[in-house]
Amino acid sequence: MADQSFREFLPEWTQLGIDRFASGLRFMLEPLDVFLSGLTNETARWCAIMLFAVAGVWVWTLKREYVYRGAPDETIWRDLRLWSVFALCPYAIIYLFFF
Amino acid sequence: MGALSSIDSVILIVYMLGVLGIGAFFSKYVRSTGDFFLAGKALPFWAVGMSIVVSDIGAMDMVSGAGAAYQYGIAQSNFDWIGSMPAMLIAAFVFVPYYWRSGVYTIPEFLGRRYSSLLQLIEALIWLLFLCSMLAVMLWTSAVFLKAQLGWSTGIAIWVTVIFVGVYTVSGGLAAVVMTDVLQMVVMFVGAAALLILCIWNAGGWDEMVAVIGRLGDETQHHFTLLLPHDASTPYPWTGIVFGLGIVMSTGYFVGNQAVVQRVLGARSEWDAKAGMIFGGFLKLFIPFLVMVPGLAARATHPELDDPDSAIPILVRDLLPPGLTGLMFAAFLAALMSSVDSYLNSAVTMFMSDVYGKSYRQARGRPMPERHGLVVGRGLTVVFIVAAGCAAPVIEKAETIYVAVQTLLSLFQGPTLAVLLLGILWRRANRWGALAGVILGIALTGTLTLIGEDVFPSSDPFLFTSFWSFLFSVVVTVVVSLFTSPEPDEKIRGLVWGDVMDDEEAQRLLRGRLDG
Repeated sequence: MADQSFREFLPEWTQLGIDRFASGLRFMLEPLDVFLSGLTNETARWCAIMLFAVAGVWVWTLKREYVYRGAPDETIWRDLRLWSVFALCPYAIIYLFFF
Repeated sequence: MGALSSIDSVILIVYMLGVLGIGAFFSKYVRSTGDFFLAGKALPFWAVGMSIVVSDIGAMDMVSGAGAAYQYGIAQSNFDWIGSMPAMLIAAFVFVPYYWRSGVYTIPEFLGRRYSSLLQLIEALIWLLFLCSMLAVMLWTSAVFLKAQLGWSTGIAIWVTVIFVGVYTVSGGLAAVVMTDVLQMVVMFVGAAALLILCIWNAGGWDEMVAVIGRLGDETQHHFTLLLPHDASTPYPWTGIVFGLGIVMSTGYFVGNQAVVQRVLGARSEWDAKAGMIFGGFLKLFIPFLVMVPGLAARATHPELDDPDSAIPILVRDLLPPGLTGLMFAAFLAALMSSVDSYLNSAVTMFMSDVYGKSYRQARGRPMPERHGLVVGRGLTVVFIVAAGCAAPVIEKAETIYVAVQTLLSLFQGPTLAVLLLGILWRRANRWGALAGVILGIALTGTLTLIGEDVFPSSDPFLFTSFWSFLFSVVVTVVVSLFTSPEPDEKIRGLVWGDVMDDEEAQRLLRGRLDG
């Protein structure tokens, strides 16, 4: 382990401090780890899909003129909110399919 | 891959002439620094998107991505799926318009204007160190590849690559880099798709491949699971993937990587810049299929490989007929060169903008003349690629230098994203908060890198490290900013979200700042 060999070069008091920090952090994070380890794959899958869903909904909160700014015209195919949903869908389907 | 046949050589020569031709064609349009560094702000969205994708994936990624799929399964794909599209949408709709309207060339330049010159210098030097060492590493990788395939000495292979990439990058600037990237992406996709089809066929079809891998034992039981349990002993548990990668690391990459930002700034309109990012996000969907499936197929047909990274070379050697071997060879070269030219152009831009240009302005009291900037920019491109060529054999001998630089950059990513986000979205963030956020954030990331495996459940927990260091830097920046005096209004005018989006006067001020 590169990290372990690096630690060997540190003074003893630094190593001690790092070890204490590690055990304190482990103590603090343990309840979170226990909680997260108990979640099912189904929950994980929906968390991932939510990320795509939230992004897809969020783009529709943007103003029309903001989305079209700089576009040569305002035809529907230049609506980047539609582009976003079109681009997000295959990703969401993949996460629905593989879990 | 074996020795190249005549048809393979012809394909390769046609590909290389095509790349040089594109470079030569675009050189006639370079008349100013804006033309050289930002392609004269003339890039269409499809070129921006394709260039972002192809710059992101190098030959090393193709080989190591397939190797990781061989070893860990499809969880590796998260880096191109959940690790791309959400972040690219945030980049497209929040950061791209912001960069576009505030008129900055580089991220350190923004940090310098928003916070302090010290932060600009620190960030620029770290990025330059990273980009230059990566250039040397990529040149060495291409030399090893060319030596294995063509029998050239590594020295000759390095300098052939230096001259080849140097010629079109020096002459055509960003436009040549992006347009050759477009060709390189087409070649890469066609070559990798050919390999994908052949290796699925060789494995007996998709279903048979899944069944064979499933029968290999406990080690491959999760090979077709995208989101692995939180306490899985791999680097990719789902919590790290969703929170560390999906929210922090990918956003940090797409909003803070100079190669990405520069392509966006070279777009012909704000709409093309945003659309390019979204189109790039869509194209990223296909990368795992092209990279991951060959790795999985190798697991089914060659389950006992000592080195997972040898999966792709073995499949290419065993499966591809003459003609397709040349195409795959060209695809590897395309992946290599598209990364080398992007890093080269970005390194020069950063040096010109954050080091040389800034010093020139301070020393002479006026901005650099166009002609001077163009000559120096081209000269520096030659200097950087030649220096990388000289450093390539040294980097190989001193692998620890490369590892150290990579680690250094990874220490910066979470904290940099924190100060970047707060700088844009929160008017009250100030120079002391940002400096403390970056320095303490780096200290925490360094410590977590040392103790991560004792604290987090997964092996190599870099995803958790980036998430916690980002959160920590946000908290530190907010607290220190609140306890110190705010930045003067006139300093940050036009550099925070509301001003840049809505205030026409602020935008005029910015244009004035840029001109003077």
